This record gives sequence, C-alpha cells and structure tokens, in this order.
Amino acid sequence: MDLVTPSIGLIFWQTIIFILLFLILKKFVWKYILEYVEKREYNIRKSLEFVEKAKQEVNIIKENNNLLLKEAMLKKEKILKEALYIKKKIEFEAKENAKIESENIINKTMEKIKNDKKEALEILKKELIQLSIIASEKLLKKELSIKNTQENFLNKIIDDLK
Amino acid sequence: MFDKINYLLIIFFCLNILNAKKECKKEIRFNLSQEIIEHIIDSHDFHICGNLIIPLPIILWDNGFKIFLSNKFYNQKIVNYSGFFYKKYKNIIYKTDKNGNLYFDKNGNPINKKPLDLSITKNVITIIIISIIIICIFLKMANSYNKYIMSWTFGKYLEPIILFIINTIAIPNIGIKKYKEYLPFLLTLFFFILINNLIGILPIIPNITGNISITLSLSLFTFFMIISNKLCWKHIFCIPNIPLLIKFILIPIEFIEIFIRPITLCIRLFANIIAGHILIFSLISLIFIFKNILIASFSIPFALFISILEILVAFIQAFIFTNLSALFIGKIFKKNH
Repeated sequence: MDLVTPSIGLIFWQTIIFILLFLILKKFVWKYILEYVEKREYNIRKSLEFVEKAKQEVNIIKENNNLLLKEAMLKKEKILKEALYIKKKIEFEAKENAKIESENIINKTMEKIKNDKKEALEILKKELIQLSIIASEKLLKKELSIKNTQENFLNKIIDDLK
Repeated sequence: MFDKINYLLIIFFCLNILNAKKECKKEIRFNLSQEIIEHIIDSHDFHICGNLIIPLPIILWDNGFKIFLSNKFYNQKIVNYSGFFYKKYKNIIYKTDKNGNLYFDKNGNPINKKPLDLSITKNVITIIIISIIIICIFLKMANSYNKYIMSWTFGKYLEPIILFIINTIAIPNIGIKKYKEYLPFLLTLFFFILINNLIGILPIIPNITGNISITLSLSLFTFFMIISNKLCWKHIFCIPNIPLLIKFILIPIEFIEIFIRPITLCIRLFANIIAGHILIFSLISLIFIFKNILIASFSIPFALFISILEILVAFIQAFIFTNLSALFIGKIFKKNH
C-alpha cells in the first residue's frame, strides 16, 4: 500500500518546487525563447513573401522582355522586308535607267558613226577626186608630152564618146 | 549523446552485478517484493550503495517545526526532540511515549499519532537538483540565441522539441487564440516530466515520476488550470438545447468527469514509469533469487532492452501527459463556441 499512498509532505514540496520552477522558467526562459522563435517565424514568413513578390516581379519583367523581343523581331522582319523591296525596286529602276541610257548612248553613237561615216566618205570622195585630178593631170601632162600618145589619147576619148 | 547514455547504463549495470555478488555472499534471505518496494518508494535518507547513506533533514510539524537529521533514527532509535518522542516504523514517523512503545491494531498497523511529515526526502532533494539542472539548461539556451539562430549545440536538440510542443500539442489542442497563455505551463510540465523520466532510469537516482505523490501534484496543476477558468463551470451547468431531465443526468456526469481526468493523468504516468522500473528490478533480481551468476547472461540483456524501452516510454509518457493536459484545457474553449 505504500506504493499508492500519496504522502502529504512530498506533494507539498513538489507543489512549491514546481511553482517556483514554473515562475522562474516563465519569467527568464520561455518568454525569451518564444519571443525568438516567434521573431524568427515572422522573419522567415516575411522573407518568403518577399521572395514570392520578387519572383512575380521577375516573371513580369521576363514577360515584358519577351514581348519587347517579339516586337523587335517583328519590326526587324518588317524593316528587312521593306529593305528588300526597296532594294529590288532600286535595282529594277537602275536596270531600266541603264537600259534607256545605254540605248540612248548606242543611238547617239550610231548616229555619230553614221555622220562620221558620211563625213569620212565625203572627205574620201573629195580626196579621191583631187587625187584622180592630180593623177590625170600628171598622166595628161605625160601623155601630152608625146605626140602620138596625144593623138591616140584623143582618139580614144573620141572613140569612147562615140 | 546516446552513446554516452549507453555507456553509463552499462557501467551502472556492472555496479549492480558487483553489489549483487556481495549481497549473495552475505546470504541474507531475499524478499523480492519488499526489496523492490523499498527501492521504489520515497525514503528519509539517500542510499547510494553499500553502506554509503546520506542522511537528509527531517521536518515535522507537531505544534511547531521540529527539524533534525534522519541519521538519528538509525538502528531503530527513538528521537527525543525537546520533550517529544518520535520513532520510525516502516518508513513512517510515529509519535511515541518515552520508551518508544508502538500500539498496533488487528491488521498490524500502528495506531500511534502521526505528526505532519514535511521532510526533505530523497525525492524532494532530487526534484530540487533536477529543477536546478532544468533552470541552468534553459537559461543557457535562452542566452545563447544569436539573432534567431541557436548557437549552443545542445540547444539545437532542444529547440525542435519546443517547436514540437508548440505546433503539435499546444496549437491543435488549445487553439491558436488562447495557446500562448498555457504554453509556459505546458513546456515546463513537459520538460520536468521528460528529464525526470530520463534521469529516473539511471540507478541510484530515485524515479521521481514513478511516485504517485509527484504525479498527483502535477495532475493537480492541470486540474486547477481547468477549474480556475469560469468557462469550465459555465459549460457544466448551462448546457443549451437539452431537456431538463437529461440535464439531471448529464450535469453529475460532467461534474465527475472533471475530477476523474486528473486522476487518470496521475495514475497513467505513475503506473507506466513504475512498471518499467519494477520490470528492470525483477529481471536483475533473478540473479539473487537463483543465486547464480550465469542468470546474468539472460537477465542483463533483457534488463538492458527494457531500459532502452524505458527511454522510449520516458518520451512517450511526457508527451502523453502534456498532450492530455492540453486537450483537457482546450476542451474548455472548444465547447463554448
């Protein structure tokens, strides 16, 4: 029966000691430890929230970046297309111009060549005439210096005329 | 840390075997149940081993305080304290006449007057020492916080336990609104029981939580925590939406329930701890009963196994006591929504 009979003295001391222990721990220990734990929890929660916010911000920035990139790509393509178009246009125009100009030049040169030909021919003719006159003069002078020949020549001419 | 505890356990067991050998040689008739009970219950002096006994102060209230050391009772002596005579019989102090005569009733129990015994017994001195240890540990812990971070290695082991009590015991049972009021009580209760359970496993040191007075006192704290709240009485006597006839049945049931709860708390812890100790002691006592050292090869491993089980039980019982206290406190608030 000793085992299950509570003794008053022990209950008395245990009560006093436990109350003292409780008060000391409450005042000097639990207050601080719980405060620290709470502060840390608060800190962790805050930093987690901050991280979440930062993540969201980063996502927004990324999306913006992507949009900007897409826009830039579109613009680039547009510009390229335009540039190509302009290039082709310029090429085409240049070709046309070149053709016209070359035709013009060809025409002009042809005309010039024709004119030059005419002039050259006329000069040639004149010179030929002069040359033939000189030659005929000399021949005549030579022929006429000899009597026979003069007569022959005259006869010939008369023959030809006949 | 657990390695060290294991080594300590082994060393203590070895000491026990040595003790056992000595006592076997003396060939004293071995009364197992009496021996076990003597080891488990409280006593007026601290028996360490062999003949080494530390006397402790005895404080009696008998028309004034009477304080003297317990070694005056040795060899069944009668203590004369300024005209008052006292004698110790079966661990209880009785008031006697000059010659120290004790008068017995039919069952063999003395009918002499018993003075109010407020002695500093073995258990009291252990509680004081353990309380000082707890205060030292937790003061160190509270002072070694370095910007939210625990810088003390042992504190790092304790902190998860504190967080466990907050998150698993206090908040789910009491509710997030009120738990802060009761948290210091629950934490003190938990660590007091846990450290007492663990230290109680070691031989020489008495098992404090295996004493019904201690557990009764602890459960009384929970009891007063409950009844000091007005809401508790409100929900016993003013149950809404219930017919009058059923009220007459329900009110006594609810009323008795309040008193039964601390008793169950008290007996659960006491029985669990004492059962383990009795088991270990019985296993080791097999050596004395059979008077054969070879029995040690069987009983020591079993005792070691039970000791390790006891470590588990120490944690579980501390948890259960605190959890049920929190549950009973939490019931006050939950029923009044």
